[in-house]
Amino acid sequence: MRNVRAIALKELKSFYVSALGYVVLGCWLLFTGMVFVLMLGDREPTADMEPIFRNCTILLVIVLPLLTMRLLAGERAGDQGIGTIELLLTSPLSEWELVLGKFFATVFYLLGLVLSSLIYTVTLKILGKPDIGPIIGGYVGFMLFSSYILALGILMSALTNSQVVAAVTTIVASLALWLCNWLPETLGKWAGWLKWTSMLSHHEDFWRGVVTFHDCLWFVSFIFFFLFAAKQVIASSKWR
Amino acid sequence: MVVVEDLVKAYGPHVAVDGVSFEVEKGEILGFLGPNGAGKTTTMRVLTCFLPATSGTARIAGFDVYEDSREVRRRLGYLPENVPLYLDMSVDGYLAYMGRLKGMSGADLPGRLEAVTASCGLSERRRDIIGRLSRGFRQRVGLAQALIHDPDVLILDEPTASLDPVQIREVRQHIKELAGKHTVILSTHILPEVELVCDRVLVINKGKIVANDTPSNLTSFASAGQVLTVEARGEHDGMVAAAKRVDGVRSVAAEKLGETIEGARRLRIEAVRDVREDVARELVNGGFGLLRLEVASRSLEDIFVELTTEEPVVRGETG
Repeated sequence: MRNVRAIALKELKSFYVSALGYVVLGCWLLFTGMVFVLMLGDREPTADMEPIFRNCTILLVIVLPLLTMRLLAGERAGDQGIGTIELLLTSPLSEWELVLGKFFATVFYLLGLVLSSLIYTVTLKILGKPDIGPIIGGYVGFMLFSSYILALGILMSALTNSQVVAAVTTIVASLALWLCNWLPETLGKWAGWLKWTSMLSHHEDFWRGVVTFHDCLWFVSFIFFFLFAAKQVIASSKWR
Repeated sequence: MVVVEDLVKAYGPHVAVDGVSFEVEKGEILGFLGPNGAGKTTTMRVLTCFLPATSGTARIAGFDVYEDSREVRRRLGYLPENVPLYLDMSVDGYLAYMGRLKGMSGADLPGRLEAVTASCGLSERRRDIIGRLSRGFRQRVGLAQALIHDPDVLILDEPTASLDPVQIREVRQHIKELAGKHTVILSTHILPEVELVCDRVLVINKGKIVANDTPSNLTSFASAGQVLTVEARGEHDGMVAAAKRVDGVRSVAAEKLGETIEGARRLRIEAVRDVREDVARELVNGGFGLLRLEVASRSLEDIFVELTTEEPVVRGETG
């Protein structure tokens, strides 16, 4: 666990040493801020944050892969696809600790986004009487959905030495997993399982304040699966 | 401290390390000498648990690199050939990070950072961002990283590659100072480097160990040695005696050469200088029928010619 903490802290720091951490935070605040202002300008403004959560998912799909693309692919930048990863794998730490350290760094970064967006919650609280349930549900959904994209991004980053390839494949895979929510409507009943595969169908309930064990388990299972696969990919370099 | 037995590492059909065995005593500096692609880096990667061996075993401080990989890695300091560093980190930040990953506690870190940066000549650069350091300083940071947790065994892959002569001298001096306390394995393709730094040298070529000796023994033999294969017709004792009369011939071994030419024998002559003309003259004058004379194809000298590269000699650099 000490190793996980050391790696997570190092990666978290490096988000803020490079411009990346600030750019993503800036994008997030700009986008959510604009949605919030538009929301207040509605003819019948409602005191909830659902439009923010709903609209920001597309932003997350595009921006979060930029956080994860470097995490493992960057460690292998260099001669023959062996860079700093050689130092990590010859240190007394396991592949699990490596992958979890990277993952927790991004999750802690997410908490920064959550904290910064509390300004909208506070504003709503001052201006109106928001129903706090859907807001909490929305945040839970936000964390699970974002962690899902991040775990997927870490897997893609483990699979390639190219950061660009890692980012593009993560974005494309996320969009595909999202869009397959509507495929059953066209393809017919037999394709119903595609809806289950889509993260959107498990995400929507959170915005209404409905946090079900089933949806949480769905997200956690996939996050675990992606991270486990990433760990196996890293370990597989030792079998070749 | 390090025991390697019959180590084989194959990448598909390509055998990079082919049955390598050696031992390194505690406190010894072992040099790995060989041309590029000889299998030096692959052997080191097996020792550092980065790659699994195809067959054979390697043990470090009694722990198997495959079975007890973590225990081995705890005791290892490793400087890979390409000196991987995080360019966006400060020297101190990087060394502290590596120290933590090596299992050091937060309380031990400040003291070790102080000591390691001082011994690697980095005291003035501790707050600098690694990306802004010159090649020589980056190499020192890499070395400091390998030393940060005071490991029993240090594995350094071409630690002086791409440094200027003054930096090379500093790094060599530093490695020599590590001897005794640490067991060091370093690789190089520069012959003088092993002479200056190492207690013992392994010459590795095409995945096999071709020599395992002290540097002085190897260099004296390599610089002047010659192995001749001679085929001639005549009586055994007389022929050997004739060859031995030549000044510089160290040993002569003769064997019968089948039945095709009656009385033909093959001589293997080891000499400390080029004796081809003298051997030929002596044999012909002695009345023996000279059939063939050539320099044996893979003498140690040939290997060394392949191994050793020219490098500028730094004035004043002595053992």
